Amino acid sequence: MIIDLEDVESPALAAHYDVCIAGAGVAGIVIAKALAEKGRKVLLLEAGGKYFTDRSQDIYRGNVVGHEYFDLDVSRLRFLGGSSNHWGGWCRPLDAHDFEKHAHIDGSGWPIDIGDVAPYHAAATETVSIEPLPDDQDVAGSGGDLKEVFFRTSQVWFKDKYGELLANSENIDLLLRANLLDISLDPLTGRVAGFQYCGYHPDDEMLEVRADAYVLAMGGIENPRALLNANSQRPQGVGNENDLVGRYFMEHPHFDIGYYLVDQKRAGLGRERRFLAPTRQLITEAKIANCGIRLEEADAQTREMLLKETRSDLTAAVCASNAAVDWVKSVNPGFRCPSPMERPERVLKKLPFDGAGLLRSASEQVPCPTSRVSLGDETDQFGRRRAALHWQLSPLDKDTIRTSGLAVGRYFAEQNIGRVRLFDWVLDEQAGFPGFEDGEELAGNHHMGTTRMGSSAADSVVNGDCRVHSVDNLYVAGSSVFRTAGHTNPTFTIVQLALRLADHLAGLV
Amino acid sequence: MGALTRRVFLRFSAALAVVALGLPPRTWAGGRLRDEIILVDGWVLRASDVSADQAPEVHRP
Repeated sequence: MIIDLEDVESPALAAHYDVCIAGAGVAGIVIAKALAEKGRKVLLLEAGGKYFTDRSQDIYRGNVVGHEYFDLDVSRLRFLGGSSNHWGGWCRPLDAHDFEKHAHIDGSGWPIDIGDVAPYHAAATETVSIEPLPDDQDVAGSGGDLKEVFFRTSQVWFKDKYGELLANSENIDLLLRANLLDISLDPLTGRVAGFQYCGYHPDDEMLEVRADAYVLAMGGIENPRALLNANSQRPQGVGNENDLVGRYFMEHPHFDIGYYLVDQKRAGLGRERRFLAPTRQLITEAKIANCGIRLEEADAQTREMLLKETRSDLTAAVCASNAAVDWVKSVNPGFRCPSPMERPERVLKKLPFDGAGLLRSASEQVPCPTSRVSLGDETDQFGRRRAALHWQLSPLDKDTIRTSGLAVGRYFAEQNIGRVRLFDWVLDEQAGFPGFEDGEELAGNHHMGTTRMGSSAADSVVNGDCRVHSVDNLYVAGSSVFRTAGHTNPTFTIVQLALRLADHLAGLV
Repeated sequence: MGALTRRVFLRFSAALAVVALGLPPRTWAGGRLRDEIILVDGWVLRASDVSADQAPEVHRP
């Protein structure tokens, strides 16, 4: 059943539900569907309607006070289906080692491992309607540094695929335009007693729903915002006893990091895109995080320009630098840099490359407590403080991109399948990250880590079951529970974790 | 000039250097690396890419 608060003053809801979920995006819909199939009664609160409206989207406005970032009301969507209404559909699970502790990455090491989410791989594949994912393949000739990884692209918009199910399920009540405004706690037990919500009209009264268990599934910015704004009984916010809610905001930085010339046949670049990633071995030895390197072939015109221009650039690079010439002479005593009158191309071996393209990284950002979502000074129409994002990248994030790019370059050169040119900012340890003005994409619109998972309340917000440490019946779903981010788009893992959480809840209610 | 090309060529600078790769050292199963890998102004090259062998007009000492 779907009820729109715009159409009714007082919705005819059950007095009590097994589970109440705030947020009908990917995680919320998956949990509701799975619980309903197990016979549990679910109320799903969705703050938006069936379609985009400015009024709903306005609630997502906020401030960006750290590294430049997308406007917060552009980076996500606030209506049925959530951000799956504009996602790119990229699907791949996290690597096994993404869950593991890495000695050189502070705060790494989930309380669960790949074996806890693997049982939900097949169901997640069905949920997003993709073909089975190929296994990763070690890249022969990379000395164990690189592996090739594969994605599938989902065409599913959750509102469209699951809208009819939500409307017809006897076990799901979907309440549209219901804005979660507060979390009521039982003063004796500290458990959630109810979710308080209301519609958009100024004269709408505050309503409360009661359930055995409650789930926040509103995304990696809104989940912490809801917990922090729920301060009527907990001044610091619910679940925020250790000042951790909102901290450890992580993204997947997206940058153009260089380009390549390549022998297309030898490199096997018959496809439009190919993805390479550092192996666990390289990650450990080089002390970096995970990183996806996309080889994106240039179109014919750009390829010709790259092939022509980069040869002269390569020659100039060697011959214009005394340091370069001296060094090359130390390796090859016979080398003499030709004068400008000589033909510079003879300095270089005639590289038989026929392809060219761009190297793009989508990398893991390591956990950083000062990269965070907090509450700003402005308030929304309900008087709740808006989100403020301070996105902060670290030197290790730069190392990850640089080392992964160099590993691809070394593989190309050693195997003589091509040559890689990395951009100056990538190699300059003092240089910062480029911004929008450089034409960069910057990030993937993946909001992670703000209610991170851990075994201890001292360094995390939720436990391995996605339950808020300090509240027995309050759970969090979505990528805000990610402890580390891997390099892979998060939605597939969000679905796996949502299915797992539904199983857990079904065992309790 | 396409957007991709513009992005590519905006990245050039005059700064030049030859530096070590900074990657963990490794050898091939059969022994030492066949060719030294060097970094020249952002290019990840084989040393032989700039060797005298490839430049017939170069005057050998």
